Amino acid sequence: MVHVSGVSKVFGDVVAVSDVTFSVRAGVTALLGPNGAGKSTLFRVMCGLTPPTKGTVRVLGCDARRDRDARGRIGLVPQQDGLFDRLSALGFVTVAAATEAVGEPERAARRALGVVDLDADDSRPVAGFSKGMRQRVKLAAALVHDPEVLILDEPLTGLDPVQRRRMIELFHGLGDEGRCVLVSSHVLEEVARLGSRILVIAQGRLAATGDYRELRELMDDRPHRIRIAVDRPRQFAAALVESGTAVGVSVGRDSLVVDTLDVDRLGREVAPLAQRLEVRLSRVAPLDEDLESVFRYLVEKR
Amino acid sequence: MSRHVPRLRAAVLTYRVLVRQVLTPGRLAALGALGALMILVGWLVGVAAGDRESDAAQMLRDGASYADGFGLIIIVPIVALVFGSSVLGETREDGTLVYLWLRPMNRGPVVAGAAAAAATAALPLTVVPTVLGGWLAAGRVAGSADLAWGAAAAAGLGTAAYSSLFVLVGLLVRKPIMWGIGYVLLWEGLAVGLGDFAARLSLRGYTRSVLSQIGGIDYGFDAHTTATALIVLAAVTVVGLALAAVRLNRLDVA
Repeated sequence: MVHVSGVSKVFGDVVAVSDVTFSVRAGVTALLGPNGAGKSTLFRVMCGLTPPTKGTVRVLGCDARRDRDARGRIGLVPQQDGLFDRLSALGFVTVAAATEAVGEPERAARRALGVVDLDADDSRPVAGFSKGMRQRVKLAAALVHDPEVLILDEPLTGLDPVQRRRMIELFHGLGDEGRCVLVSSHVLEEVARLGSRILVIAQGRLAATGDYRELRELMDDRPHRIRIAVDRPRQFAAALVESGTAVGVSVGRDSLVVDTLDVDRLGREVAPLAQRLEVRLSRVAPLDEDLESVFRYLVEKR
Repeated sequence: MSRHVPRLRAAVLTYRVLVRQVLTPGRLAALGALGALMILVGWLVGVAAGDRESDAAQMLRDGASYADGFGLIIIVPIVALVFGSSVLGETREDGTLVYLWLRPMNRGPVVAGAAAAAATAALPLTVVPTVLGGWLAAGRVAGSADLAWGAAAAAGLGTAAYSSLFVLVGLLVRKPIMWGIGYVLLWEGLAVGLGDFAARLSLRGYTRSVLSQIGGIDYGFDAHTTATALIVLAAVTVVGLALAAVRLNRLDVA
């Protein structure tokens, strides 16, 4: 449904997207990447909001920048927070429906607002809405015309956990109906729940693709660095190296930093080992679980 | 499945959204105060002329000069600049343009609806002070009704032409107000004094001609014919809109 082929986008001296190629079919696909990785630029190119410097994009076989009717088959939640602030939620989504050529726009708007759990009869201007409510107004506006392709740029930002769960269920429902739902996020846990197919983008390049399990395995292949606080770090380090769990150890005054290729095994062995050696174990903490380090690893590996 | 919004409906929808966005209390207060100042000064000019017992023809010329010098040079372009440049320019800045751009609508009607929204907001704030200010400055003597008609036509047509031009400017540059003020003060304000050729390249030369010809008042400049002035002002309006539509189509939308 969406084909991106050799797409690059350059702004002056900055390469925002570099030679990205992928295809997306019906269902939910997550675009994962840290802030500034090029996710929003890629989405803008896909929607035709900005032309690619190089390469081609086809959405439902069309170029959305040139094909007027194709634009009506895409629903976009942009990253920007801007809304027509003087309108109510119903007014805003009704305008969205009318400008998408939907018959009975107000009725469609009420239905879309219901889907995102917003009160259609709330007459307050959206200027007074919280971030989460504004986000849901944007989502309702993107859904109101039943688009075949949904491009959602960080749509879960500002939502509370219950709303997030509801929206993720909604995305899966839309995907199951045969729509192509592309959702971007910079939060790994969020993407884990979004599930199915994942595209990882870092520094403007496509760093990895696959389903969540494949990606998790890929990430688990990398060396992990764990800090372990014990009262006798030197003795504990020697035992870890001897057992083959650690591939590298640096010892401090009251802790040690362990490099391991098998973090699960290390997790299983640390407590029994401490018990056997009769050392006092006070803390085990990963040092490189942040998303940036995961992306860095994937990019370097690529 | 293919669907799109018909042209007229696209223009009306755009108009309805943007006219509400562009009319902010701050703008209305500031530009309304400018108009009130013009009316007040016009009234003082008329009272002073009555005290001097000036003849009616001279008072009409003074009224026309005042409507031209304050209304057509300052109020009309400045008010049109504020609304025209912001009506789409602001949506570009705050990210809401995407809600009009990524729609199955042609660009021409979107631009036309936006320009109509800007003109709707601007017209009362340009026509009323220009007409009332000129009429009061003329001391309400016989013939000042014609002056009022001329001022209304000149301010109205000028507002439409400037609005169209500044909608285009709002899509072309960042900080369009600065560029627009530079254009209004440096070119429109001075061009008329630089000779006939320069005057032909300024909108003011045509708006003041409408005022002079329809008002039936010769107040000391070489006016274009009514037909020429109307054609040029209409052409500027249409060409401005057409170029704005092309620009909108090629825009990088945030």
